[in-house]
Order: sequence, then C-alpha cells, then structure tokens
Amino acid sequence: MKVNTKMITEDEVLVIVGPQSSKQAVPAGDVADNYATPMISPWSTNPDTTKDRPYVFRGCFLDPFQGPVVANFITNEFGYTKAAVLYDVASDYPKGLAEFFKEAWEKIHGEGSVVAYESFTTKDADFSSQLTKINQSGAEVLFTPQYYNEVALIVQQAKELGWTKPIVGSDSWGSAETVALCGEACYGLFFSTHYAAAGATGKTKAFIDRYKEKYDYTPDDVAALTWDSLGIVETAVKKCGKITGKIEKDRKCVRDAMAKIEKYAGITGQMTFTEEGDPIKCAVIVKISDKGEYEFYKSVCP
Amino acid sequence: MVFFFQNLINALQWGSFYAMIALGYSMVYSILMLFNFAHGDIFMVGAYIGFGVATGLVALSASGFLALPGWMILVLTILLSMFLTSFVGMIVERVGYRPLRDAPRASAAITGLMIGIMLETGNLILLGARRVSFPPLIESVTYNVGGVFVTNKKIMIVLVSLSFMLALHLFVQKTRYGMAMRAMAFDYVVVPLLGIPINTIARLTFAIGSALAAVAGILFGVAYPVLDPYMGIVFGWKAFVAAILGGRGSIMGATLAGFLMGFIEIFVAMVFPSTLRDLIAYSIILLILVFRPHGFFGEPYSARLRL
Repeated sequence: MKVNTKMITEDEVLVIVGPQSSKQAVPAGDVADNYATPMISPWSTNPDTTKDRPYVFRGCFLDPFQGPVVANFITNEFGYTKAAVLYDVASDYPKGLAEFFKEAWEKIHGEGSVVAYESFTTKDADFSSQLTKINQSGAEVLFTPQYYNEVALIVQQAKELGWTKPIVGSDSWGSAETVALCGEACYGLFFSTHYAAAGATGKTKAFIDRYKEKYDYTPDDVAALTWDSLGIVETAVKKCGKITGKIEKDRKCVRDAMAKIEKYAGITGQMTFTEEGDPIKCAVIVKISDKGEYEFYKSVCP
Repeated sequence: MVFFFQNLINALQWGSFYAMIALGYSMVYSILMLFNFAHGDIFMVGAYIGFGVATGLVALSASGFLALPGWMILVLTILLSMFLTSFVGMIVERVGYRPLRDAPRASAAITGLMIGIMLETGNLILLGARRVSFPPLIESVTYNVGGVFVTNKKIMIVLVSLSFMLALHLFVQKTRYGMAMRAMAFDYVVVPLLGIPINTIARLTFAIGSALAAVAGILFGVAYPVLDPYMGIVFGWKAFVAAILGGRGSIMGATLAGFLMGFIEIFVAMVFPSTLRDLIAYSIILLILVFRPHGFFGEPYSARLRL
C-alpha cells in the first residue's frame, strides 16, 4: 500500500500492473482508485479487488465464473443431466464454487438435477460415506472443487468404491502436486483453469516458447495473465494517442480506454471488461493426460 | 441393502483407526491416571516414520540391492516403525511425564498438549509444509461382491488392526508384564511398594501405546496416502472421545468404542446430510455419556480401574 501510494504520488506513474494476490491487490486497489490511477491486477480473483472501483481492473476471471463454465462443459461434452458435488464446507473457495456450480447446473437441467450435494470438513481423510451416497444417487459425473491433497484422496477412494464415471475439478487442481499425490488415478480427468501450457497453439505457444528460451522454464498462469495485462495496458495507452504530460488527464484517458477495450485477443483468451473492471473471457478446460501432464483440451466461454 | 453393507465395510475400516488410537490413551490412563494428549501426534509421527522407512525400503528394493515384494516391505515397515516409534513414546514419557508425575494433574495434562505442538512444529521444520505421499506398497485390487465394493487394502487394514488388538489383550492378560500393568492400574500407590518398578511399567506402557499408534499411522498411510503434520490433532481428539466412551482404562471398551464411533460417523453421514455429520454423531455420543457417564466398561470409583 505504501509502495502504491509512493508510486502514484511521487513517481507519478501512469498506470499500475499488479499486485498479483488478492491479499495485496484488494488494499492496493483502494489506493489506486482513491488517486484515480488505473490499475490492473493480473491474478487476483477476489471480487473486492475491483468492486466499486472504476479505476481498477483485473486480468483473470472471478471464482463464481468457473461454476457455469464447468456446468456448460460437462453438459456439452458428455450430455449428462445428473451431477454430484463433493466439497469442503469449512473452506471459502470450494464452498463458493460448489454453490455456483449447483446453481448453474440446476439452471440448465432443472431443480433437483444435482442429485447428491455432499460435504466434509477440512482435514477429513475418509470420504467413503459421502462417496457411497454419491454412487448410490445415480449421478453421472462428480464435481469437486478441492485442493490437491484432497483431490488425491477423493479420486482414489471414489475408484475404490466402484466409481468409474468422470470427476471434474476447478483451477485449484492446477498444482503439479495434484498428479504427484494422486498418481494414475487422476489420469484422464478434467478441470477448468486460466490457461494451459501443454498443447497450446498460435499466439499462446509463441509466448511459451519465447518465455522458455529466456527463463528456461514453462510459464505458469500468473506469467501468462501478467503478459496479457501488459498487453491490455499497451493497447489502452496507444488508443489514448498522445500523452499530454498532465498526469491526471492522461490517467483518466487510459482508464477510459481500458474500459472500452473490446475483445482483446490475449494469450489466455479473448477479453472484454464489464463495468466492474472484470474481464468477460473464456476459461480453459485441461485434461490430465496419460503421462500426467496438464493438456489443453478446449476453451469454454460463458 | 447393498448401500447398507457398503457403509458397514467403510465403517469397519474407519473404526479400526479410532480403536487403535483409543487403546493408547486408555492404557496410559490406567497406569498413570493421566491422558497423554500428545498421543494423536505420536500417531502422526508414527505415520511419518512409516513413510520414511517405506520410502527407504522401496528405494533399496528398486536399486536391486534387496529386491522385496510390496507386502514384504509393508510388513518390514510396520515392524521397524513400531520399534522406532516406541522410542518416541518412551522419550515423551521420560522427558514430559516422569518429572511431573507428582505434579498437579492439570500440569501433566498440558504437558501432553505442549509435546504435541512440539512434535507438529518439529515435523514442519524438518520436512516443510509440503504434504507427503505415502508410497503405494500394495497394488490396490477392488472386488465387487454383489454391488458392494471391497478392496484388498480394506480387508488387510481391518484384519491387521484386529490382530494387534488381540495380541495386546493376550499380552496384558497372560504375561508377567501384563499382570504388573494390571496391578498398577489397580493401585499405583501401593503396588510399587510391593517391588514392581513403576518407571519400567510406565515406559513399557508408553512404548506399547506408541507402537500401536505407529501401526495405525502406517495403515492410515496405506488407506489415505496423503500425510501432513497436523493430521493427528482432530483424529487424536476423536480417539480420545472413544477412550472415554469405552470406559477409562479398559482395553475392550476402547476397542469397542473406537469401532462404534466409526460406525456412528459413517452411518450418520449415510442417513443425514453430510454437512451435519459430526454435529449429529457427537450429539449421539454425548447422549450415550449422559446415560453411561463412566463409559461402557468404566467403573464409578477411579481407584478400581481395569485393563
């Protein structure tokens, strides 16, 4: 926050890209908005970062967005009509996502189409009774927006209880640890996320290749989203045309230009901002390959 | 019906973990009249020692130096970890409990809590916050018996834990040391005067309880192969509830209560929404205690405790 204030008042920056995590982005967004300085956080998913702050934008989608995305994906890909959800009731992220998924699924398939809505609490290791219930409910697919350690346990136990149908997750699966802990049981499963390095094409692939050349490792989602945020800022500044040197006026111009950007073609998908400064963009569905790699499967839009 | 039997199998596995941990609480209580609140964390340490031993043996086996089949590695892991974890128990007794044996009970009780925190953070410093994955020692095979799914791991876990409980029972009832433990449980003021060394018996009790916790930890790793340093806390509390429910100091009681708690938890989740599982399960247990305040096998006078 102090750094942000300093950048704005002393260094007189035109626009800020960052910070990444919501913990810093929420307070930083407050400062930026108060000083009428445009800011874009590439990775912060907390709704408060941009809420009621006309000068603050973000480069990624929000948590609630993944619910409908996954519901649409399962419906279109498999044609299933009955889903089960298993989530941690004591943790904000999974609980929120479970609710958003249920809402979206029932909007498509009608009331009661989520045939099992089961929960557990953080640190639980045995999910046998919940999974037995889910097995019994006649669900065709299981959605579980959990973190990597629980994903491993849930998937393995589900298989041991005779579950052979697909299990789908959210961006919290996207850690390398998921496959390390879960092993072959997780191969062939899907989850939604911001971007996938393996199997990328076109612009995205070009970015990955250049990044690899320079830093010698595969860029993760933060790197890709930051790249896109920089691109958006660049576009906005160019649109503004000449920089007048009057910092207040220039900042306002850049802010307005960013808000007006339509269908910006980024490497993490096409983006258009809502009034809140959150992008409308597509999510990526990743398939865990037979080698345990996260492969781009398809892009799903809201 | 299939649904019922599936849950029965699930409950048997889950209950055997509670039972094995509850035994450790119960034994220490019957000898020293205190609850070793570090026991849940000794379970965690046992699981990690098992993880270390198993990983080492797997690597040794893979290097071709000592080619062992998976089940053999598991047996060796259990035996070696029991041995090593029993030393952890004995150290905890020597450092944490013996100096405080005549201190007020509350001081001895918080000792356990403090040692528990030390074990957790010690592990965190040693291995970091990353969760570790217990190596899959035996290939998981799933049998479909008329719609009920049973794995070889589940059968193995229930059988192994039952045999250890039986072995403990025989040890306490049939050996001289067991007799000394029972005598100590009966009266730990007078019995030492008769020439039974209280320190030896206390150490032995901690060693056996910790060795059982190690077995539980390894079987836990086989069933739920993700370990983290805080895995023993809530689990320890719940097993402690089982120990009380069984009747303080009763082996039979702790075993039965452990299984009963597994059954209650699983079947509550079967009937009610799983969000309410612990709320309803522990209300039932509270209700049992209201009607049987001394547990199943406990007796009203604390001087008359039985092993």
